[in-house]
Parts: sequence; structure tokens; C-alpha cells
Amino acid sequence: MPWPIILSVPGHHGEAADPEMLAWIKQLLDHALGSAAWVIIAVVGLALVAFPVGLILFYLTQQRRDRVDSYQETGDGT
Amino acid sequence: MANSVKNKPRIYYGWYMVATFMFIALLTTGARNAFGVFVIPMEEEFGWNRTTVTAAGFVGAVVAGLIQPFIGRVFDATGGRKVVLVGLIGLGVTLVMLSLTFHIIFLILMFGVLSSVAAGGVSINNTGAMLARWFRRRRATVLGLIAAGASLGGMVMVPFAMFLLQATNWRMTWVALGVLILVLAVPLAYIFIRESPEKLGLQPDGDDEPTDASAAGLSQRRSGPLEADRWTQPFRSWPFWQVSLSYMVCGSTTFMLSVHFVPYAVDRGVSPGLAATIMGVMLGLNVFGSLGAGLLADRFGRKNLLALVYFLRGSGYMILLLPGVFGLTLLSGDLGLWLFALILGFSWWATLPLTTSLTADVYGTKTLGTISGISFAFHQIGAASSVLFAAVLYDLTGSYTVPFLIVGILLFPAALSAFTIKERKYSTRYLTTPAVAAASGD
Repeated sequence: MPWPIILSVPGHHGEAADPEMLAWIKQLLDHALGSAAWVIIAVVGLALVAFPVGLILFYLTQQRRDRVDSYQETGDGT
Repeated sequence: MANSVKNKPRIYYGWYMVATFMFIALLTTGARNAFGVFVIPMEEEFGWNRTTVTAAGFVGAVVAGLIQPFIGRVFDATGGRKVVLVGLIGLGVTLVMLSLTFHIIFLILMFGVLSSVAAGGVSINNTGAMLARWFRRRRATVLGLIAAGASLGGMVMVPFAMFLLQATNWRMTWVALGVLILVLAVPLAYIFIRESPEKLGLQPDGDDEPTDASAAGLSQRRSGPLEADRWTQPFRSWPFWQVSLSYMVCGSTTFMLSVHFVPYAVDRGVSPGLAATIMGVMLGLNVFGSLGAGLLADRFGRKNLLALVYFLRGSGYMILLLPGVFGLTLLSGDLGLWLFALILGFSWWATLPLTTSLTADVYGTKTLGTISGISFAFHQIGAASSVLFAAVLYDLTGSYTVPFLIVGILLFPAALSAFTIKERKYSTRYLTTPAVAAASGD
């Protein structure tokens, strides 16, 4: 098999996130959202931070409720 | 028994695991998918050509496939929690290290090899194998959820990396992606990941403790006739080959598309912008496809749905290609591309929850990390070879029609292969024992 064909494979392969396509998507996003990059970074960044923090807080709240439930049931004479 | 019911938590702990793994899948898959964002700035800074830079992505895809069975083996042997934690830390560190890139060898070693090995530790094969221990009745649903998280990762993290790169530079963007994993995903994994419900005194799906009468039957029901204690055992049974070979076709039909679809659509006379939009819609539909497949599989079984997914995907390829061959003008234009995108979008990731849950139902969870890893290696072999195959045939024929047609046709035997799996005979979902029947009063 000629080398140019083999070498063309990685050239094709990296395009799962094709740079040209990404550049075009970026243009589209700029058009739709404006080009205030820091605002978008802040919004997405906050959402990314909020998920784990929210999950941990939710878990702690539920644990507290479970303990209260368990205590009340024990207090009911069971 | 009474106490165990009264002290049962309001929310089953497995759902926290699902949320954690969804978030991990979103961050890790998204960060790795963002590689394409870095190609142009790195080319500009170092004067590399496109083939040189994307060689790192190529090596990464190959390493990720080949390493998975070995990581799966370690995962099964250790229980999995440590593998996930080490994988996350490794991935975070290698992404940060990528900011120091100074030579192509460094990029290939760091992204293509080390980052891929680390990502193997937190792959959906492993996280899915762990969740399969936590869920039995809702197994496909939760696998669909983490597949949706991974799919969403590409949609969120890739644009996030684009804007970060615009606001800073590529080195800072690599640091940010790595730090996000180290600061957010690692602590979350450390807090929530537990290897099995039994370690917390819980039952799969959050069920009540089995009564003494049903316990014996339940333990039998959990072990199907092909339950694997050793990872080599599945090689001697048909379902493994039926699942893995059809998964190989799955890899070839999706990977070829992700690489060659936009150039193919442009060759068909569509503008690059519209081609990219159609591709974007296809990727966006993945989320709904994987969620829907998981939900439906828990209700109607796995193998028929898996066969249907392959059949529909094959039909999608035929809709894309045959109208052009037979001169049907209506479908040979944009409409054909959109129909194809709709079908492929829904079926793209749908195979993952179906394949993994079916494997877990048939072979059990003891060696699921290894078995899923081997199936995934088949998937990646199909993926890598299809890209090579399409590239060669494109260069020989000047068109993508022939390679697309060949892999499209292969989807029909893949559908048949999935359809003929004897799920009712081998899957624990359908096994009942006299003890269970007696306990339930039948």
C-alpha cells in the first residue's frame, strides 16, 4: 500500500472534532450568543461547579431527613 | 426485616452513583472531544501540518480501544473504585501537562498514549460495569443516562473550550480542562463511588431485603447459565460473538461517519455550513437516542431493540445512498441527508446501553469490565479499520459511496446477529426458579 494512503489516515482520523467544522460552529455560536466569551465561560463554568455542589448538598439534606425519619419511627415505639 | 424497610433511605444510593458517573462522563468525554479545538492554534504556533497534529488523535483512538480489555481486567480484580479515581487523576494531570507541549512526540505521548490510558479507567465500559451491580431492573436506563452524559459532554465542553481558547490561549485552555476534572470530578467520585450496593447493606435497584423463602431462589436467579467467573468463559458461547461482531459493525458505521460525513455531504453539493449543521443535529440527537434506548430496553428487552437499532441504521444508510444510485431525486437532495441524520442521530449511542446491559444480563457482573472492554476493542477495531477503508476507497474511486454502501449493508447481518441472540434462554432477566415461583405464590 503506498505511503500517501497510509499517511492520509491520521489526516482523516482527527476530524471526529474537525477543526474546520468547529471553526464554523464557533462562528454560528458567536452569531447566536454574541462574542462575549467570558460571559459564556462564566455561565458554563458556574453550571459545571453547581452540579457537584448541588449533588453533595442534596445528598446531605436527604441523609438528614433519613435520620429524622429513622429517629421518629424509633420514637413511635418500634 | 421490618427495620430494614423502615430505615430504607428515601432515595436509593445508586442514583447518586448515576449522577456522579453522568457528570464524570460529561467532563471526561467532553474534554477529550475538545482535541479538535486545539489543532489550528497548535499548527500555527509550531508550524505543524494537519496530518502531524491529528496523528495524536489517531493514536489516542487506537490506544483507547486496545487498552480497554486490560483496564477492564484491573477494574474487575480491584472492584473498580480505585481504577476510576486513578483514571480521573491521571486524565486531569495529563490534560494540564498538555499545556507544556513543545514537540509532536510530547503531544502524541501525552494525549495519544497517557491521556487515553487514563481515560480508559473512567470509560463508560467501566462505569457501566459498576452501575450494572447497582441496578438490575433499570440497568439499561442508567447505562442510557451515562451515555447521554457523555454525549452531552461533547455539546457542552467543546464550545466551552472554544470560548476559553478565544478568551485566553490554548495552553491555558488545556490547564482549565484538566483542573476542572481534578477539582470537580475527583472529589465527587471520592465521595460517592461505592463498588456495590451490598457494601452499603443495600440491594440492587433499592429493593427490600429478600425474605428467607425467596433468598435461595434469588441467588440462583442472579446467576444465569452463562454466568462468567473467568473472563475467558464467554469466548466459548455464541452471545459474546454475536454482540461483539455486531458491535464491530457499529464502530465502523459511526466512526466512518464522524470522520467522513461532512466531506461526503460537501461532495453531494451541500454547503459546508449546512453539512456541519446536519452533523451537529445528528450528534445532538444522540442524547435522546441513548436515553430512549435505555428506557425501552428495560421495558421490552435488549436484543430485539438492538437488532432494530442496527436495522434502522442500515436503512438510514440505504436512504442516503440508494436514491442517488437509482436516480430518485427527492431523496438524493437535502431531504435524504436530513432523514439520514435523524435515523443515525437516534441510533448512534443507542447501542451502548443495549450492548452493555445485554452482556451484563447474560454473563453477570463479576468480569463485566473485562468482557465489555473486549467488546469495546472490537468496536474500536471496526472504527479504525473503517476509517482506513473509507480513506483508501475514496482515494481509489474518488467517492465515499462505495465504502458507505459496504458498511451500510453490513448493518443488516449485524441486526440479524443481534436478533438471533437467545436472550430468553441466557439472560437473568427471564430466568425464574422454582424457589422464586414458590416464594411468589405461583
